[in-house]
Amino acid sequence: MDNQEIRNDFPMLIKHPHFIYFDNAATTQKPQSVIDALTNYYENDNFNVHRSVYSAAERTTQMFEACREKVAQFINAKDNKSIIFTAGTTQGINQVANGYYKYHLKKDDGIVVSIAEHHSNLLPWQNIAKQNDAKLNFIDINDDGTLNLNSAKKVITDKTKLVAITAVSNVLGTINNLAALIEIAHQHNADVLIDAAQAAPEIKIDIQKLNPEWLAFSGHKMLAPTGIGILYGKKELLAKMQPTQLGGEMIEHVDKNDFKAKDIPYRLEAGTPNVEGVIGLSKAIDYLANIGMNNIETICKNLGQYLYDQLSKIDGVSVYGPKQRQTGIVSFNIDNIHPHDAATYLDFNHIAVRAGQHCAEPLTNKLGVNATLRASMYFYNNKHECDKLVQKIIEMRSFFNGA
Amino acid sequence: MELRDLYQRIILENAKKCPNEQFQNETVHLHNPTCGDDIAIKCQYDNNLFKDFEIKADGCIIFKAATTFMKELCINKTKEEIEDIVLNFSKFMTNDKKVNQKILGDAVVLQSVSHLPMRIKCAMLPFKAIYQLVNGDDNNQ
Repeated sequence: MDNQEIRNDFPMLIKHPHFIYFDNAATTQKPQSVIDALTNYYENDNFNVHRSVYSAAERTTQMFEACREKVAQFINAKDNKSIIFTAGTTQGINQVANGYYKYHLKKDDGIVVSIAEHHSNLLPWQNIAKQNDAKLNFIDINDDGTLNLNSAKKVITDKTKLVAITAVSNVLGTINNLAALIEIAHQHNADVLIDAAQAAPEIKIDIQKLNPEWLAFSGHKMLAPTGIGILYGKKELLAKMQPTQLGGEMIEHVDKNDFKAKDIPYRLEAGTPNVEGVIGLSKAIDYLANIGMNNIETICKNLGQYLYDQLSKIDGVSVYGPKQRQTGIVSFNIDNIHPHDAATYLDFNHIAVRAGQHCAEPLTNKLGVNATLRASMYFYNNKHECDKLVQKIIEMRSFFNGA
Repeated sequence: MELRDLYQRIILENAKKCPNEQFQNETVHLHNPTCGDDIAIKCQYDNNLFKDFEIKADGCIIFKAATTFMKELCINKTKEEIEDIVLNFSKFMTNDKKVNQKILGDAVVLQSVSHLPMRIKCAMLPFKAIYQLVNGDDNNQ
């Protein structure tokens, strides 16, 4: 499929042809098939799942559970009972922190994260470390922004019970060497949690090959609606996880003083779930599978490399992260122009980029800056849009500095 | 609204004049977590007046220009005068018709910021900082 064919599937891109959307790491646009699936659900299949006898609700339940299997296949997990529906990556990680490690960390046990984590994969661990008197340690990054495996070897010890790490940095666009990191962690009998919020949209995830204990991602960053996410956990760990929410749909039976919870996954999904979100996620996975995750990875990587190369040619523009790009995320700064002013200039020129700390304040501090600009591209973006951004950056410099 | 309305020459010039002094023991330190705008202030309190401002500020043009205007407007003023300035600037940013523009001096050139909700915080931050400073327990004895 060529770029225009792909773009034709996205109503937002067609309705706003002069708008350049480069904030895909924040959220992605939705294809017509996902939008239609939501409409169809509300027109024909809007029934609660798992509790009704009538056949219409049973049909919806089947659609809902079919998505659990589809997600399992999407990440090559062995068993769909390992798939928990959440509201998103943040909720998934918090559920692991507050439902599992809260009960499994002793004084002086270690949690290891990297300095490049999104706040969602940092704050829950800061909190648990404080509550349980555990130690939080950091893996450093190299000068080019890639993960420093020597640092990982030093900070991961036999005391370490969990290594929580992002697969793709939402600022630097780097893909962390998870295979090497998981090997180090498992040598010390430490569990591994992967924050796949930026990885799931762009790269093929293979749970059976990687063998992490946990993995979390969000639907809305991969064409699905907001408010739906996935937590993968090894079954034996999920079985020991305490539900962080109690209520409907999660119980076998209840008496006046106590209850018996269902088996996984249901015991960890209290309340009416986000059915429309699950249905939308199902269609989003179909769409991604149709393009092919390998193709998506290649398109995003090539766009990231192209933009990196073009930006690097401009005097006074610093681009962060390695020269060899791996994803469509490119963060940069322009000398003497604050990212916030640059983003407003680009906004007036119909280009949407992110300015700020991108929910990764320790990393921006490490880079020695207050904030950065971030262009994050997805497979529906193209080089023409990159050229337009570069042209506007050049014009911007005379606007601010020549004024 | 044009970009040049937002980034007028007078705004760019005042942003360049923004104080960024090195000092310790600030009374108030505020930070905008989404963009990194950052301001630290301390000052002397003498004869009911706030004097000798020391300000360390770093951030975007709108924030830096607003910091320069804030300093010019608020220095050597009483707590009540400063509160009046902050209140009126806040009204000015939200397009409140009851605003007293006279006491805002050159800061009225920031009017176009009021049309950009995402940037109002940039202009407000120095005014919030001085408001907190004059209302802090340590400064009113």
